[in-house]
Amino acid sequence: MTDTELDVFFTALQRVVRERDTVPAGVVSAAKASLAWRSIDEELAALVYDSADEPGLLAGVRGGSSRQLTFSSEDLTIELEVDGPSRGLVGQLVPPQPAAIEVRHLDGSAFVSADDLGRFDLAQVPHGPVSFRCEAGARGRIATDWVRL
Amino acid sequence: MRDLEAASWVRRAALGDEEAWEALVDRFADLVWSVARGHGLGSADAADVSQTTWLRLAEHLRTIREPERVGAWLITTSRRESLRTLRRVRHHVLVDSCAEWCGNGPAIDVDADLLAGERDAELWKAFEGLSGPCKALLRMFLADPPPSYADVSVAIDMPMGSIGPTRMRCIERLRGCVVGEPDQVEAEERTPVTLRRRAS
Repeated sequence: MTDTELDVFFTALQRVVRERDTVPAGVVSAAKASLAWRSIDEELAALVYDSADEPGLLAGVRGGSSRQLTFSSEDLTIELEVDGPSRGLVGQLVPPQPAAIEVRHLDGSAFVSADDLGRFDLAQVPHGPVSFRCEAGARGRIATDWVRL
Repeated sequence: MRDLEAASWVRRAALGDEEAWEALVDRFADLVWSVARGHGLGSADAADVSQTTWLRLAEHLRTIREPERVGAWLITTSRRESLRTLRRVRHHVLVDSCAEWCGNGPAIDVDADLLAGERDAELWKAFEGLSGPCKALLRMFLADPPPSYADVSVAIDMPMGSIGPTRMRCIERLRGCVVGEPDQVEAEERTPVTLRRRAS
């Protein structure tokens, strides 16, 4: 097969894909609106562990698995566990401490409090991207990476 | 080659410059979408992966280590997010064999008299039916505009020199699965053309 034949084929494929499957306008405008969500004063707590990254961990536990995630900034770690079926969430701040936590979501935020032992929970996490903004007294404010839970 | 234009958009967007951010989105939105679609995600999941990726970039603007590699960062992030989605729905396909590529469905016979639009539809259907790393790689290069080899190389951890040959091999394989050359049908008057999925 010649390179020219392959080029012709690729060009045809390119035309077909670009006619049918370019990024929808709504996705582009949502992306453009994302800049407004960037944190100014908060320190970023990056996603450092996600059990969904481990192949096979969820497999075999049909519908009954939970997912663990860890976000970490210099001063504070946030551990989350999300129950698969119920979408209920429990969280833990490390080191343990009380804090006001905003669960950021594109359709609006939910607010929860971490108790003296740094524990917090949410009956049901929203679908779509979420981020946790945490106000923890002397340790300042942090915001986690956006994730889909 | 370093993407200095993209790097300057990142630096300006980090300071809140909306125009620079929009330029970034205009350049890379279709690439991010293509990464998700190339991993076999449907439109709703691909939209969520895109949204998550862009929100995450907005938070990382200040800390991103190599702003000139923002294209690679976007591919890496959207790819990881796509794989997470696939594992959650448990139908991930991480290897491609020809069987997976081509499926075992009945052959699609396309008569030479068909309109170009119908042939395109068959080609699209065949492409949509494919899965695996080759599909993911090719779909990325079908983005408008396509990514640089340098960004793809960093994102999928493949040497620069291997990207071109791998891309060609994938095109060749795909063409082998989807027999027929829709663009050349006109030239071969009245010759029946078969655009079909090979059985294995």
